[in-house]
Amino acid sequence: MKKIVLALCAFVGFSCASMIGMDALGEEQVLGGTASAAGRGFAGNAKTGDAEGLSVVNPARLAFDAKVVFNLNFLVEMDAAEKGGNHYTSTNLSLPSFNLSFPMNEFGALGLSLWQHYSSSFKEDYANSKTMSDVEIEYKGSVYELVPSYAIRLPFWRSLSLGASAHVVMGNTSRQLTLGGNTSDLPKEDAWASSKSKISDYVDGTWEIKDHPAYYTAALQYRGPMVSYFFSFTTGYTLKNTLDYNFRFSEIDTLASTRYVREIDVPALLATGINYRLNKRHNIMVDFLWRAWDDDIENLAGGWNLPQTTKTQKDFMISLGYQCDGSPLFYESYWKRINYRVGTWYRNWYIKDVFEVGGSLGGGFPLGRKGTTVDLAVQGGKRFADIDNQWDETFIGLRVGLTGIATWGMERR
Amino acid sequence: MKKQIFNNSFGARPVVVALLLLAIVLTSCLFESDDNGLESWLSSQGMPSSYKVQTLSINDLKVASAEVFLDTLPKSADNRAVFGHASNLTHDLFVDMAFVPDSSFIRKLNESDTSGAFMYFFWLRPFYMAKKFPSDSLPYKEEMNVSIEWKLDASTSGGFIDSIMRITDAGWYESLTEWKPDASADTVFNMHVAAGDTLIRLQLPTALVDSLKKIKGSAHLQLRFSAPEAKHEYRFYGDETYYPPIFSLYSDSTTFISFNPFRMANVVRNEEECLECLVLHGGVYDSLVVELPSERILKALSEFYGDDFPYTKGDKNDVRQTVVLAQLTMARDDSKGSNEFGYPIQVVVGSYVDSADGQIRRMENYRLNDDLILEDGHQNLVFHKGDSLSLQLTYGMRDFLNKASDGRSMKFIMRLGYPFLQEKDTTYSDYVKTWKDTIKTAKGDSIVSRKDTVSLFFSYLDYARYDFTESFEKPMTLKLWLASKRGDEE
Repeated sequence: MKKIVLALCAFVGFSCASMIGMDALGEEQVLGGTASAAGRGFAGNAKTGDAEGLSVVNPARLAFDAKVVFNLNFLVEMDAAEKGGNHYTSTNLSLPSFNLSFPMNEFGALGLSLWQHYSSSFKEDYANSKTMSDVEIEYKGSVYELVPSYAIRLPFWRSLSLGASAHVVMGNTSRQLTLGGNTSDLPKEDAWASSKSKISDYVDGTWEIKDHPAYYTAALQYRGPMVSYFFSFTTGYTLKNTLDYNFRFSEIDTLASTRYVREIDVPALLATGINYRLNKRHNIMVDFLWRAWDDDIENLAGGWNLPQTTKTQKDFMISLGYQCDGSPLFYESYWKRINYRVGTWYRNWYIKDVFEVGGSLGGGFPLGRKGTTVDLAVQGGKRFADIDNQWDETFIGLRVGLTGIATWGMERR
Repeated sequence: MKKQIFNNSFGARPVVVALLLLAIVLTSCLFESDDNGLESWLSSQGMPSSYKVQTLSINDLKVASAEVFLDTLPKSADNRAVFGHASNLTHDLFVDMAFVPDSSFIRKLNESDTSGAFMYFFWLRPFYMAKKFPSDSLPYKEEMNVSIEWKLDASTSGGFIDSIMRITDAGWYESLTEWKPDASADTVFNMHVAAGDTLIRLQLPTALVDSLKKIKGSAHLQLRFSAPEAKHEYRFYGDETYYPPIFSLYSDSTTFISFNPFRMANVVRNEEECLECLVLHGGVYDSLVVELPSERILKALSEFYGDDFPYTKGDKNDVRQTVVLAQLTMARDDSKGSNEFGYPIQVVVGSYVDSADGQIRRMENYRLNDDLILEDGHQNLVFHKGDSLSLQLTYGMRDFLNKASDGRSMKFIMRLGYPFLQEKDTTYSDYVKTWKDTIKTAKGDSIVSRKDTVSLFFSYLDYARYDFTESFEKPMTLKLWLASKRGDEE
């Protein structure tokens, strides 16, 4: 199963654009990175509905869904990194998550998500004969989670639901730094020997959770006539990254690699959120996620002047969103059937002195009568990095979510 | 309803397009890259934009051990056959034949007093006629003492020939290591090879013909030709070519039978007086296995980097640095060798390196030092100008440093390769000259015409010998070009 999932992940080329923290864990895709959540500023985990789908921090919400939802998300993001007057821009396409939720009425609801929780993706090259610079750099890192979930409404209190999910972690990471030789310090008669040799400093490895098959989330959701809210707790865990460090002259000409295992203690996550329904279709929502990192993160590092660790901080995200639900009636005007979303967020990254502010606009566009929807979200913002080796980043992105909604076991009328 | 939707959508389109264009313009202003943006980012991450090459010379190095191995097991001569003596090696030629002579022919053979047998060998004309063959050395003339030995079996059994054919090549080669002939005869043969000659004919001994007269049914004849006192190594076509040797048995000038061998082999006999000497021979499976002292190399690296060598942390595989190029330079004295053609001969090197779960011998790559080649020629040659030999051992040194913690030594082999024709040419491949030019060879300047092919090697191995004993007694220099992952603070 793992192989199938990994092959699928490799096929779609999961990646993210941020250049911050690539030697640590990479960029975190909060809340599964769905286009619908992004459109309302990553708020709305407490919002219930017929087809809200799976939330990776609030599995309890699933119990209130009435329809089967399959959801696939894409993100195109352009990042401009800047420091001290130097600029660097990169663009990336990624596929942050697949989500499937399957309500079973009084038997509760099942859900399955494939979520790229952390990622680092970067590939560039640069050559300058004057400075004898000749470099190609490639990061490919992903911490995937396969998240089966189950939620059920309490039989004696139907407004309340309980949910739980397990997060099975897998993935891999690699960094290839291919360098040309710099013979500027050699006498002329010795320069011949290495002028055409390119060497790759290569490290690759796999991710898993130490000593456990998964980490877990438990959640409680209340749905009231006007107000809905949730609380969830996600256990802490230790990520284990088995790495092989090597010098490569080509794919088939390498040194015998040396193995090292880095362990990253990821703290428990507390999450809560509230959704307030103003009018029949107008929703205001606020969400809050919080984790307290105790330990620094050991980096990929492995030589040169790369720092050995990344300092961490209390990591939280507060998000505020608004959504105007579209009409479910297919004979209404098309503009009335669209979900309109807007939101903003502030997020302290897990990396010390890195924080992000962003905003988004989104819409859910129904396609035909059968319940297929395209969610679009335009997002933008800035990541501020007040540390030596990280650059500030301005980002702008477009998220596209394809959602299929079906009424399983019920005849269409 | 549908109509309404389309109307709405198309009405909004110009606005959407205008907004998109505005977004693109704003985005292109906001998102820009500097020329050196990546280099600056790498630097801020602590990454280099190139690796610094450093050199380390380890002088006065003496080999820890060296030993010569010569493979004297029989080898196939089905394509190319040699026969004679060169460089203290004698090459014996074995021929395997099976035939069913007609009984009336055997009767005539017995009745004839002019009967006899010949063996015809066809000269390897592409070799003797080659443009680069030293034609001034022809003709070869000598009265050559040839020893001919034979084994003859005959049977009237219907399955006799089939039973011979079932003997595998490997089985036959193995049987030759314990060769016990039925009979032998020494003869003197007037060997004569001139330019343009096609074949030679060897008269076979009368005793062999007498034995053949007695055969009934099918015959299996194996012959061995040996000329340990020959002045040259002679080269012929083998049995699997268009010009296989011919065995001819005749009763008179018009009555004869002829057939070809179905299998041939060469066996080398080492006649070096000093078996401990480090003598390499060309043209044969001969190798000099050398070990360099690991302690000297590791100590020099330890002093150079200020780190412990060998690396003993974790799984002990050392990836802190790697070898970009390694070159071992030793003294050379060409008077300690001899060769056939007068061309320089390349010394090829292979190192013992790890591969998967085992160790393999990997032939070393050769990187060209263009300036030096143009000035003094390639430095991995013997029989040319200069008094030193430089061998590149990059793969071996990489592997050695990577895995030195297991106590291994740096081990490599040397062999004599093909005669080298581009002594001061940096092309290092066959090529076609596009203009009339002068190229420098070991035999002086050579004029080549437009469209002439300039070959890297002469296509035939030289049965040369080279004694490295004295070279190995003198100190050598190992020079390493290194790339390190160590940071500035280290």
